[in-house]
Amino acid sequence: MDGFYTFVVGTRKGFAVLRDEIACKPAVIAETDDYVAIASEFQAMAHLPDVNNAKIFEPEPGMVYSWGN
Amino acid sequence: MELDLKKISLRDVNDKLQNLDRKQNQRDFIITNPEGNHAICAGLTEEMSVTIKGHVGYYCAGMNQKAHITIDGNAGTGVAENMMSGRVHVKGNASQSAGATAHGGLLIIDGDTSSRCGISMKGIDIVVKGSVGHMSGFMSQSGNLIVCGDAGEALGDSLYETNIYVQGKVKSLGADCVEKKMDKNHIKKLNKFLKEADIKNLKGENFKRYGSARKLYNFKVDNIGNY
Repeated sequence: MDGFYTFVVGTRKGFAVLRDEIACKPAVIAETDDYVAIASEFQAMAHLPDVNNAKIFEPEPGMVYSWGN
Repeated sequence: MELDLKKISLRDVNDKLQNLDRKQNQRDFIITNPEGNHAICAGLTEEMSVTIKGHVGYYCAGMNQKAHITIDGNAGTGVAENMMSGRVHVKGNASQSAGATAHGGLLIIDGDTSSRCGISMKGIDIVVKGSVGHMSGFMSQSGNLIVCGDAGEALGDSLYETNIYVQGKVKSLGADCVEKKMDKNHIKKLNKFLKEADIKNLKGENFKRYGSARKLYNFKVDNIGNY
């Protein structure tokens, strides 16, 4: 895939995220036992339940992260 | 004094910190409920201590002078960008361009940073206890970038005179960035930074130093591929 993007694809039971190779577009992931949230910045998920105790990290560029199937 | 961003607007909080009431002379602040807001504590110019309880958005503590700011959470893009002096401590991870273009002061990051940490830094000292992403130290001009973990691709690309110290693995070096010899003075200086960042279990001797090969200072047609 060419260009700058944060690409999210979802199915009924899961989803995956891929960030462009040079991390031009921002992305941040919050992961808890109950949910996984993806946004371009933390502010967009600040209202999520217990998000301050979530594992929060930026996906590495060019690496596919997936949950479920 | 507690400043709750759920009760007081961000603009009012920043205004209060940028224009301290000299009669009260209150210089200890705790900011609660930051909720990823942008530009929290930007443009502080006086000595004070501010602790932010939670995650912050873009450009937190930007342009800081003299203030000591602790972020008890993660920081978004450009934390402490263009800092002139003072100290910023991120207890979690930082996003891209941490300490970008900063002229002075000390930035400590307990976790990892994303790409372009210390981009175009001009005198700031940055200590990252974790790892840094790709193109860290890009076009950096002065100061020290200390990485206790690993560094991503193209470390120190097109840098001028910054000292970059990395303890872990470097995925690749950028254009004109080379490994340099560590002499006694470098180790002494590095140990001083590790002490300042409260890192007790690491020794300066175990780091490698990277810096400029100074081959891109002037235009040479042979280097055209690097521009």
